[in-house]
Amino acid sequence: MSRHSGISLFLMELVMMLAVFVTVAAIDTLMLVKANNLSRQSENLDRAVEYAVSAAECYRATGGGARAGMTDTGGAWTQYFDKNWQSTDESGAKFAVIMTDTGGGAQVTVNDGGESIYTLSVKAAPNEG
Amino acid sequence: MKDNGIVERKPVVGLVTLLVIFASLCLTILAVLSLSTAKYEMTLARKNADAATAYYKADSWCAGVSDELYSVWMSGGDLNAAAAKHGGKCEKTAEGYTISYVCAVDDARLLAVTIDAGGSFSVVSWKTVPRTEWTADDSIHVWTEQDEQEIEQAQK
Amino acid sequence: MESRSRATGQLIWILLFFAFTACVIAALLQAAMVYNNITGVLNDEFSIHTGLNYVQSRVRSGDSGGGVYVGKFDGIDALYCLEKDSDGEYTTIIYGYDGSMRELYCEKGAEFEPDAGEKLLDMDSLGFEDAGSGLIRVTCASGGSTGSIYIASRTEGGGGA
Repeated sequence: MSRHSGISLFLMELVMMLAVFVTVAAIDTLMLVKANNLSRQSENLDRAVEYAVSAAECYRATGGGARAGMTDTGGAWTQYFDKNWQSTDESGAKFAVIMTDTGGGAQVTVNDGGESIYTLSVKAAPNEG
Repeated sequence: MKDNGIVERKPVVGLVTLLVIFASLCLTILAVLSLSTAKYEMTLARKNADAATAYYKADSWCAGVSDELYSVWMSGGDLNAAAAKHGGKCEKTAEGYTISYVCAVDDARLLAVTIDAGGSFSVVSWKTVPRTEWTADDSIHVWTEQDEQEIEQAQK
Repeated sequence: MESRSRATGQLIWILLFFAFTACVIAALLQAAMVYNNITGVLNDEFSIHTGLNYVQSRVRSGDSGGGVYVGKFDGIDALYCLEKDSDGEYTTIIYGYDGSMRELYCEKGAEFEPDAGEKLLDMDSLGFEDAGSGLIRVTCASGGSTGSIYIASRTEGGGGA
């Protein structure tokens, strides 16, 4: 009797602790997933700011985006990047840096798909240079 | 416990509980650390983005003023009045005028511009400066020349 | 017969226990991998973003009279920020040497060895390039990640070598 009750006790304990562990693991997994997403978002924001600033500085110095590696698409300068922020063409792109002329200045927008991550406005003083 | 000559081992009760408590603690600590690290990263990234936006806002304003002053200079108008309109100063020099004005970037920085408007219109200086001058904290007495003299006298 | 069933019972609980332990360890290892990934990326990207931001701040705070320009410091790509005061002319030289970004503040024209500069950040490489029209291209790499940025000098004479 005691032998059977010993194993039953162990199995009961195992099942209970399994339930506890699964609950704790579920909560912690949610936190880890959120942390991973936040980390990715902050990395994307940092890169977006860098490329937006490069485009803005290029516009300040030259009035266009060619020196920063952007392409003139008729009315706007664009540059496309894949998910690892490596330069690519439009078809395989996840991120897009778009600089549009606003008459005396430019607006630089960095998009992730259809969503804007970062926007910057710059004005050039034509008398300079 | 022996039964018919066979040694029987009872399952150790409590071992699984200990294991689960330990694993839960480790998992929770790792998850919390990851989340706090990621949140810190995000805060830093947002501050960086805000600082860049603030700088270009100030830069654009200064570029607009520079453009206006250039127009006034080209037309031979009153540079003094044009500079004063934007809180700037205009000083007469041998070559023409030196105009300077500032724009606040954020709580800690100003964007200071200096332009020479004489035979040509050129930007002499376009730089960020701190809003307040750093002053040394001399509240703690560390070491002075007097201390050195006192020690020399004591040694004599 | 009875002894066999007892042995089977013992084997079952031992196997169950080890299976449970293996699952728990696998879960812990996964969590550790995610944490390692997050902090590893943070460390590499921190060097790059902080380094680029620092150079940007330096250029923006020293852009006076064409005093910011790209040059060579003992054969190494470097950024020079010239400042003039009542004592004379001084330069701040920023360059990459021996796995770190370094800064050297000295009198203009003074000769120093590359290891005289103060270490600012760990960085595998740091490069400066004159991109023309007053633009300076700054590139850096750390731990497999790379970053680059363009900065424009707003004053005449700035940017070029």
